[in-house]
This record gives sequence, structure tokens and C-alpha cells, in this order.
Amino acid sequence: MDAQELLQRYGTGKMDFRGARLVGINLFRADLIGINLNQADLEQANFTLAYLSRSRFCQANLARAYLCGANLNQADLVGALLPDADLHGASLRGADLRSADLTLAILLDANLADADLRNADLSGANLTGACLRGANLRQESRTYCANLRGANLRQADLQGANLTGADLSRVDLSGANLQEATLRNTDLSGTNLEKTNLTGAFLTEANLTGANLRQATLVRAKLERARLVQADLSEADFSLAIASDARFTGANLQKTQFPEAKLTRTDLSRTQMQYANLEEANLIDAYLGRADLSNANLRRALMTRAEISSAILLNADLTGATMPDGSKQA
Amino acid sequence: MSPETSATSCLEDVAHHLTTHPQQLRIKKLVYSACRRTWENNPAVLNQQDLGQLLAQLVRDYPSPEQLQIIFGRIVATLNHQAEYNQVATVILSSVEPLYSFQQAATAVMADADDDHTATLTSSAPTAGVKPYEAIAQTLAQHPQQLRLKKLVYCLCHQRWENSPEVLDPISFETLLPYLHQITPSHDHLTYALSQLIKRLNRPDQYGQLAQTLVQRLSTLYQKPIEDHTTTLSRDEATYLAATEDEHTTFNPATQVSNEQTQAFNPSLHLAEEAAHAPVASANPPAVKDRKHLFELRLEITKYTSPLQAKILLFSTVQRPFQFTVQDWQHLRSFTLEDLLRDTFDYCTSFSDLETKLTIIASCLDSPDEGSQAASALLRAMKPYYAPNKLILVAP
Repeated sequence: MDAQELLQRYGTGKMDFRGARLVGINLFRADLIGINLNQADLEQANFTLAYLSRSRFCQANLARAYLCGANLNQADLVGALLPDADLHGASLRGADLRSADLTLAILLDANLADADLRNADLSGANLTGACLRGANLRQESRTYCANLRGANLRQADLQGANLTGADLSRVDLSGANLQEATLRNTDLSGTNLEKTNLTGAFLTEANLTGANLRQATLVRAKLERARLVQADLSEADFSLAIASDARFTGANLQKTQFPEAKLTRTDLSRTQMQYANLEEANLIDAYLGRADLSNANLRRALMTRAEISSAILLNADLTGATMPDGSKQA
Repeated sequence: MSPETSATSCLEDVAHHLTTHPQQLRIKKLVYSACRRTWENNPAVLNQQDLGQLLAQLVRDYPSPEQLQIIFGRIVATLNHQAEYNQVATVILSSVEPLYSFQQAATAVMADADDDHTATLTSSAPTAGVKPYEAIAQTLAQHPQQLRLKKLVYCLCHQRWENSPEVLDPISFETLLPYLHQITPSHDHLTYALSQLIKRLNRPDQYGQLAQTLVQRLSTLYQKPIEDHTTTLSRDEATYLAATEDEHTTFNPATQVSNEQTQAFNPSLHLAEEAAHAPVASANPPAVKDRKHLFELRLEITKYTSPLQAKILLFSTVQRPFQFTVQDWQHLRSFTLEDLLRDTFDYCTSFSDLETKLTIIASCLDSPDEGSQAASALLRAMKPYYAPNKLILVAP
């Protein structure tokens, strides 16, 4: 079947093309709304700027297909094979992409808002500038989770996205928007989060070991029990953040902002905290063994029972701070 | 033949002469650049502009050939084909010379007419002087910071900051004030336009004080709206203003300068203003959205068009018309939507500029329907990121 025949049949009202063999078919700008192409072989097919909203491509082979600018809103792509597919600037709002294979796919500036990407394989995919607001990438079980290893998510919009348990290790998320995103128990080790907006993000138990969070915004973020060992957090903003029981061992916290942050029982040992702002921070029971707090601002900070005996407090401002023994500095 | 018709035919002759010139494209580029304060290489945009209209604007914006020469010199200095464009500038300057002589004649005629008009109006209205602009111009010219005051007034009139005394000195306050009064027909318009301008300057404190001085000196213009407005507004508008005179005069002129809030929120004044100048923004325009983060803008755009359509249109605007070639696809992929939006903000300095360019480019794309759909989505989403004061400052 060629493109002309398919369009002719579609024009007469036929929608069901399940299992059709249409390798390399050219359907540039075609209007095929609601078409059923489940299990079809569409390798290297050209759907550039085609209208495919509410279409069905379950388990279809779309390897190396061209879907640039295609409208695939609310399309059913469960289990579709899309390795190396070109989805540059495509619209996939609310599409179902569960278990789809998108390895090395180009999703540059694609709109994946509210898409279901659970168990999808996005390893090595280019998601630069993509919109993933409200997208679901949540881990359902140990074996059913989205894979984003080595993906590029620079400037991506992930506001409110659910990435619980997702593997984002060594991903480039620089300049991305992760406001209110759910990243509970997410692997972000070695991830580039420089200047990323993580305001109000849920990072409870996340693994941020060795991550780059320079100048990132983490205002009101939840970081309970998160691991931030050896992470670079210089000049990041943790105002009002909650990081109880988190581990910052050996992290770079120079000029980091922690005003009114909750750091109870937090491990801040061996951290570089020169010029850090900890005004009114809650450091009750925190561990600051050999932490360098020279020139830090600790005004009105609460340090009851905190371990600071080996910390460097040269030129630190302790005005009004509550000291480990409960006494208050003048 | 009347002076108007001979001026029009002269303009047509000059335009015809320049469009048939072998360097006509470069001529248009240079004239366009002087008028729009932006360099344009895209033939699709240039072809939509009538050279005659551009020349008319040129002569209006730069009231003497000397000023035009200075501006051309500045533009050419930024180009890579300077020798060619210097010749082009000479061609334009020699061609437009007759237009300046006509303009001078026309100004003289208009000045006479204005005198008559003011005389008839002032005969029934009490006023401090026959020519209010002249008195204000004198006090401004005697001010110790007169050059800075002129810079402010010039920028409000021309929407362009000018530092050069060579350009500013030959222009008198007397020539600038009537136009300033025309584009800022009320005290609110003036204070708003000034506040928007001050925000963009690097010496906001110094210029803020001078703006205050300017508002005080010009307050006499706004205390007597009837006779002043009639010189610039059409007869219908003038009649309307006369009908709402009571609403204007209920305000104590003394509080007009010092108490902005009371004035801005007073419903009767607000309604009168809106009715008389419908397209002009209200005294409290919405805040311009911050361009630091463009996530919201991207989201808004892709609600109504595919991200690729938006990118194709923006690429065609800031780079070259997209041709669907392999090279174009590769080139397009090297930009993100955000990159193209930022380039577009740099390229189109005002919303009207953006509107013109996007609409023209959209109609030139291989699928004009989809292009115009993308254009409308982009315009709707990008509008809040442009300062609304541009609307106020646009000449009627």
C-alpha cells in the first residue's frame, strides 16, 4: 500500500490499518486524525507536520521515523518502537507512551505535557527544551520505571512532573525548570543541575551525590534524608528548605543561602561553608565536625546540641545564636 | 497647484527615482534602518514597505539634512560594506533635498494656520499666553540642565535616546513640545511615559528629578485641556472633550502634579480619557512580564501551535525564510525554541514591530494557514512581554 492508497481509503472512512506494512511511507502534512496503526511497520516513515491526534500506534515500529512537528496529542503509543525517531518540535500532549522505546530519539522542544512515560526508555534521548509539565515518569516497581540515563534535558520544563524513583544519573538538567517536581528517591548522582529551579521540589531520599547544584534555587524544597555527599552547592539558595537528616558530607557550601532552613540532625561534616548564610537556620542536633564556617552568618541560628567543637568559626557572626549548651550569644 | 499636492508629487518623484536606482535594495535597507532603528536584510520584510512612506517618515523624524547625514553616518559605521553604503547615503541625501525645502515651506504655512486657530480659540478662553509652548520652551531652555531635559523630551517624541549635541542643539523645545503634547495628551500619559523611560536609563535618580521638573513646567498645558487639545485633535474629539469639560475641571489643578494616585483612580477622569483616546493604554497598564525565564511563554505558545511551527516562523523571521531543505532542518535543530524567542525579542524591539514582521513572514511561508495560526499564537503569548508604553508613544 502506498501513501495515495492509504489517504484514499482513509478519506472513505476507513480508520483501521492495524499491522499494515508501510516502511518508508511519505505522509508529510497528512491529516490522519484517529487512525489505527497498531502493530504497523512504519520504519523510516515520514509523518513530518502530520495531524495524528488520538491516533493509535501501539507496538508499531516507528524506528528512525520522521515525526517532526507532528500533532500526536492524546495518541496511544504504548509499547511503540521509536528508537532514533525524530520528534523535533512534535506535540505529544497527554500521549500514552508507557513502555515505549525512545532510545536516542530526538525530542528537542517536543511538547510532552501530561504524557504518560512510565517504563519508557529515554536513554540517550535529546529532550533539550522539551516540555514535560505534569508528565508521569514514576517508578511503579523495581522493573517498571522510566530510564533517562544519559539523556539531555537542558532547558527542559519539568514543573510538577513526577519522577519518583527515575534514573537521572549523569543527566544534563542545566537551566531546567523543576519547580514542584517530585523527585523522591530519584537517582540524581553526578547530575548537572547548575542554575536549575527546584523551588518547592520534593527531593526526599534523593541521591544527589557529586551533583552540580551551583546557583540552583531550592527555596522551600524538601530534602529529608537526601544524600548530597561531595555535591557542589556553592551559591545555591536553600531558603526555608527542609533538609532534616540529610547528608552533606564534604559538600561545597560556600556562599550558600540557608536562611530559616531546617537542618536538624543534618550531617554537615567536612563541608566548605565559608560566607554561607545560616541566619535563623535550625541546626538542632546537626553534626558540623571539621566544617569550615569562617565568615559565615549564623545570626539567631539554633544550634542546640549541635556538634561544633571541631568546626572552624573564624570571623563567623554568632549574634543572637543559641549555642550547643543552650546559652544565647549576645 | 497647492503646496500639499506639489509636496506629494515631489515625494513620489524622489521615491520613483530611488526605486529605479541600481542600488535600490541598499537604499531601502538604509532608509528602513534610519526609520525603524533596526537593520533588516530580509527582502520579504523590505518588500512590504513602501519607500515613499519611509521617506516621508525619514524627513519627519530628521527635520534637517544635517541630522539625516549624522544618522546615516552612524548606521554606516556599524556595517561591513561601508564604502558602498557611504555612496548609497550620498545618493539618498542628494535625492531627498527637495523634500526638505517643501517641508520648510509647509511648516511655515502650518505655523500661520496655527496662529489663526489659536487666536480664535483664545479669544473666548482665558489663557496665560497666546503661545503656551513658547513660554514653556523658554523656561526649559534656560534651565541649567537644559540638554538633559531636551534628551528626555526628544526620547519621548522619537522613541530613541539621543546623546549627541549635534543632533539635539538645532532642535528647539518649541518644535518638540507640540508633538510631545500630542502624544501625551494628559498629565497621566506624560508621567507614565516618563516613568517608563526613566526605568530604562542608567541614571534614573538624576533623570527622575528632571522628569519631575518637566512635569511641573508642562502642567500649564494640562490645566487647560480644551484649547490645547483642539489644536491637535480632530473636530469630533474636540467636541467630545468639550462635553466632558466638567469632569476635567472638577479636579483641583494644584493636586494634579502632587497626587498621582487620586487622579489615576478617579473613575470620571478615567472614562473621559478612555473615550477620547480609546487605543491608548490606561493610567495603570499591566506590568510587563519578566524575560528572565521563558518557561511560561513556551507553554503558552505550544497550547495553540506545534513547537515546530512556532520555531519555523521565528527562524524565518530572525534568520532566513525556512525552505525545508536538509541544511535548513540542520540549522533549525541548532536552535532551541527559547534561543529563537530571545533572538526575536532582540530583533523586534516593540510589539508593533513584532506584529508586522511575523504577519509578513507567516504569509510568505509555504503553508500560509499554518503560518498565520503560529503567528497568532506567538503574538498572543509574546504580547505581555513587551512594554505597553510603546502604544502611547506611537505618533497618531
